This record gives sequence, structure tokens and C-alpha cells, in this order.
Amino acid sequence: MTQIVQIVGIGLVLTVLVIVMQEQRGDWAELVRIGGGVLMLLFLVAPLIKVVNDVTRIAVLASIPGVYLGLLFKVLGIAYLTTFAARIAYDSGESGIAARLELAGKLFILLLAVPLIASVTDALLKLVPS
Amino acid sequence: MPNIDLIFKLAGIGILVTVAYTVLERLDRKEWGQLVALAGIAIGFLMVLQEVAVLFRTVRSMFNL
Repeated sequence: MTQIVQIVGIGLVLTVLVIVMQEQRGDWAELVRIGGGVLMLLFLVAPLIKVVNDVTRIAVLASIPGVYLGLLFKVLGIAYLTTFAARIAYDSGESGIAARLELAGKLFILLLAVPLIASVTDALLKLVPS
Repeated sequence: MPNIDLIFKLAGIGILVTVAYTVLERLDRKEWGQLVALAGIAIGFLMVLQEVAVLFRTVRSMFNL
């Protein structure tokens, strides 16, 4: 419970700092924004590790193959990183670069999912009597 | 646990560089002021970049990317 208070506090301090620095020097406001954003994401890492471990344990209990779970986590990681980078670009006013980054993330997630889709299609085709 | 000091360090360096830039500009040393501003930006970027590298490494090891 103290952690969420901490993160909210960092967010508020960061907002005030960026607003103050935006008028003086825009480049420094940008730096502070990126640094604070990274810091807030780093604070989220510890809870995220707990969630990942718990999900892995539940998946083992449900005897879900580890390949699928690894794929899911890979997709999550790609989404995490690309969203982070795209948000930085978007905050800097470069919405075009942000859109391209998100497109790249979606494409690579699709790339990971294609074998699964193929295997599902194969299974369906086997069910259909030709 | 990541340290919150980074934000205040960045903001402090920013304010310091702004003050130095203003003083040097008043003293008719504008090129020195620009040099100071550039050096400050470089230092700040290095600090931020280290944290970004830590984040990327953590995410890669967490999700087995």
C-alpha cells in the first residue's frame, strides 16, 4: 500500500517539476520527463515480477504448456517496451514516430502469434472431413 | 528499489545550467553559455540513458525476450 502512495507522489512531483521547467528550458523539461517516466516504470518492476511469478505458478497448476506462457510473457514484454518508447516520442510531440513504434510493436506481436494461429488452423482443418 | 534522487538530480542540474547560462549571457560570453548548456544536456542524457538501459535489461530478463 505504501508503494502506490510513493508512485503517486513521484508522479505529482514530476508533473510540477516539468511544468516549472517547461517555461525556462524546454530541453531540460524533456530530460526530466523521460527520467521520471523510466523511474516510475522501474518502481512497477517489483510488483510485476510478483504477478508474473504467481501467474506462472497458477499455469503450472492448470498444466498449461510452458511454451504458450513464454509466448504470452514475450508479448507482454514487447508491449511494455514499445509503449514506453512510443509514449516518450508522443510526449515530445513526435506523434508520427510514436505511431510507427506502436505499429512495429503490433507487427512483432503478430509475428509471435502467427505459429499459434497456424497450429489452430491446422487443428481445425483436421476436424473438418475433406 | 530504484532511487527517486534521479529526478531531483536532473532538475537540480537543469536549474544550475540555466542559471550559469543566464549569468554568462549577461557577461557577454554567449558561446561559453551555450557550451555549458550543451555539456549539461549531455550529462543529463547520460544519467537518463543509464536508467533506460536498466529498465530494458530488467524487462528483457523478466519476460525472457
